[in-house]
Amino acid sequence: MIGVLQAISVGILVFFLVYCVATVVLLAMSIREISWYARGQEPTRSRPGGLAHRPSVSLVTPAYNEETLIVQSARAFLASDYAPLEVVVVDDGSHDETFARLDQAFDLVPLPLRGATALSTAPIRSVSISRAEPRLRVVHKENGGRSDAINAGISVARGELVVVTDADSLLEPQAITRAVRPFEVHPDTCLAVGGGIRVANGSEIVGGRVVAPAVSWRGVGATQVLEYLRGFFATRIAWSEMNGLLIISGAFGVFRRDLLVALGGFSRATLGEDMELTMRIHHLLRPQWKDARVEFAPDAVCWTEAPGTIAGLRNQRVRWHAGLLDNLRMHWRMFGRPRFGAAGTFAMPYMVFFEALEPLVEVVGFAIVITLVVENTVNWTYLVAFFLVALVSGAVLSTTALLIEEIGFRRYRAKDMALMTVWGVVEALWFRPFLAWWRLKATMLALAGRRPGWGVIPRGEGILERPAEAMGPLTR
Amino acid sequence: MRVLLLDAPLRLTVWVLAVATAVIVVVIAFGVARHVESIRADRRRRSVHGELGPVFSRFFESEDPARLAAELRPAFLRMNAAERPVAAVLVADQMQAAPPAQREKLRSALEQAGIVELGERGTRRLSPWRRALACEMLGKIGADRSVPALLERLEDRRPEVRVAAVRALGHVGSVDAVPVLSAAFLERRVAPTNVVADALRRIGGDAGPTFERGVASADPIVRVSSCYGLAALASTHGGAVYCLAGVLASDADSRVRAASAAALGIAGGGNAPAELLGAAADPDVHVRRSAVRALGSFDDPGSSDTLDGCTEDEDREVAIRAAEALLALTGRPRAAPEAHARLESSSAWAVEYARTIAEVSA
Repeated sequence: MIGVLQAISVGILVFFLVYCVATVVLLAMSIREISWYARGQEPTRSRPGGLAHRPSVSLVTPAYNEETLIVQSARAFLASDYAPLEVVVVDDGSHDETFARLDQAFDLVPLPLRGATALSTAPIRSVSISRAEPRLRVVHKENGGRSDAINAGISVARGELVVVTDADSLLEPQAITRAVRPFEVHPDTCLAVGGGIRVANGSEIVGGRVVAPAVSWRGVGATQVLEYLRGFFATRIAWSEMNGLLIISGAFGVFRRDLLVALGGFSRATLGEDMELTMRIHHLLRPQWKDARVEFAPDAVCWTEAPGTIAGLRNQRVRWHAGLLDNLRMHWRMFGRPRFGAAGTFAMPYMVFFEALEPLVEVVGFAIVITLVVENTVNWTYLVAFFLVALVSGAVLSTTALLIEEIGFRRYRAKDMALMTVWGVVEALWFRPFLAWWRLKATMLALAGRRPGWGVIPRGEGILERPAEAMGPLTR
Repeated sequence: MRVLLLDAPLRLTVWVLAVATAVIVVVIAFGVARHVESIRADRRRRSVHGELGPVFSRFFESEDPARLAAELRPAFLRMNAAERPVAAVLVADQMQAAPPAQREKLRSALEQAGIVELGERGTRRLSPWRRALACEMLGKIGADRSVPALLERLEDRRPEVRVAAVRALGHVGSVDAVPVLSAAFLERRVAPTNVVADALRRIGGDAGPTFERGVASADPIVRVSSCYGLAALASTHGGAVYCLAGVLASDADSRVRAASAAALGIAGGGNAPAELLGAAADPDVHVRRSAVRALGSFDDPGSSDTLDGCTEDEDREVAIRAAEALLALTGRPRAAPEAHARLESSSAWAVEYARTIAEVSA
């Protein structure tokens, strides 16, 4: 028994050290990249882009029972500085006045749209154009869920590129322009671009725009601001550089429309449809198309409201982790295989070990410690040192993420940065154990073949074998 | 039991702890230093703008290049290494914002003041972002004499610098850069193909032969970019439309055919090439989409029949684009009567769709 526990504890330590090394490498790559980026922004503020012809863009946003904010959101999306742009709002069978509010505000006129839709969805009741703002289309359809609504929007959209965002997301006016740049520079190889997501909790919002970024004093909000900075700006920059980015957030992603149609659109078979689509792009396209790229645009910013309560956060994280496990299961064939590039050789193993299995390791570690404390058989020196390492290594990650923010973006005031530094140090004591527990719960549900509140996982669905070659050239 | 009493891991743990703590201290110190530096940079920017802003304002009032040169040179020489990049950005912004009539005088003044020479020296700086910035400034100034320095940067080890140099050469617009940029474009090296193609397009008609060679390349990406390049030069390069029509008729790659059809649409003109009319029935949907849209750019009465047929295409986008192209033809002198007649007699849903959008947009 003692031997087993010793082996497990050593294994946990090794796991932890490998995680630290991998994360430090990612951070170093991100800092290198962001340093150049920051120099490019200041003082020159000029980046490649602005070429002869811009590809047309359709912004697709699903809306379900969003009557309170849908008009303001649509106006904010239309206020983007990108042209040519159309905004497609998809009312996914709302029970409230979502469609009526849009009709009232934008004077909708029905469009006689016939013919087969590019993607199969729940029945579409109507497609309308706004007389007040002709760049706006509204799709009124029967309820089918978020992926279904986005697919309906993609079917109606006419832009060469599709921006997918949520009705409650706040896009900065330059966000689309910045996210489209990689397509302008690499029109033949860039397939999708993810934008940077920031947490709006605590910030001042006026007319659907974040006018004064700030950090909430509350731990749940402040820690999530920091967590998003870590997730998006400390590691995704590096994954993008390696062409191993496995997730483009559903809150703000840009895709070639013909690619989405060729791949069958967003999957309805997973809770993490955004990650699944990104993985599917790598899975189906990379083996035949070595140059194909999935990029991250850190300066294309979308603000989102994160859960403000522990209960809300729990639901979100259980759902996210269930989605992650779904997607890893669907795309396990990429694991460790060089034909999928960095996505297969580095990103998949990182996801499996440090995202999917990490909660198991953490909870097992906690369980061993609690057992040994109860049995009074623990070496306290070792235990304290181990927890300090956990605390300090988490703080390294957090402070480096804040450094990247300071070098590259400087969105927050000094006092907000200080606040996040403090929460970054103490999060290991409360936030990470919570996360580990919720992720473990999601893992148990997945192993039992159940989803949190979504019934049984439909086996065998997910990957659509549509030809990826069905893509035309982008305008340039 | 001392289950976790393992000497080797404990020593390792202490080491990790020590290193991690040191990293945190360094990171926080670096972050604070960056913050302080950014505050100083803001001050520096205000100071440089305060010094050079009035100099440029006086130039725009008097349009006296000699005076601007006399005032700028000492101001630049007084600046330290941290201030010059800020001044370089200011110069680039002033060049970009200047009306075309004043831009030539401003360029002459900057050359007299030795700013171009300073920029050329800047392209050889150790810091890559300064090299890129110098390239950008030289591109915005647009002096022909800076072309050799920019060409030298096409071999820079940093891709960002090479991209800046390519873009700058495009802004300068000198034909001296065409041979090197052509080779870079056709061999797909130095910088992303589309960036090099954009620079060639900016240079203009002299780049036409490059794109003509490009449409015969074995690389489909070069062929696609060449189609758009030819379209951009169609007004100055006589053979562009003929060449694009040939590509549309003969290229086996549907992406290239789609690009050539779209490029013909950008070029536009009188009679639509027969190849474009034929492409409206291409088996590839992307080619048909590009072709029917392109037909709306030609003032050709013969297009209406083809477009009318395409409003019933099985692909929704082809049908809508055909209807929109028919509507576009109603605004063209020769094609309008036939297009009107077709629209009046059509019962296709796509025509109604396009009409609704046109009415709402009007």
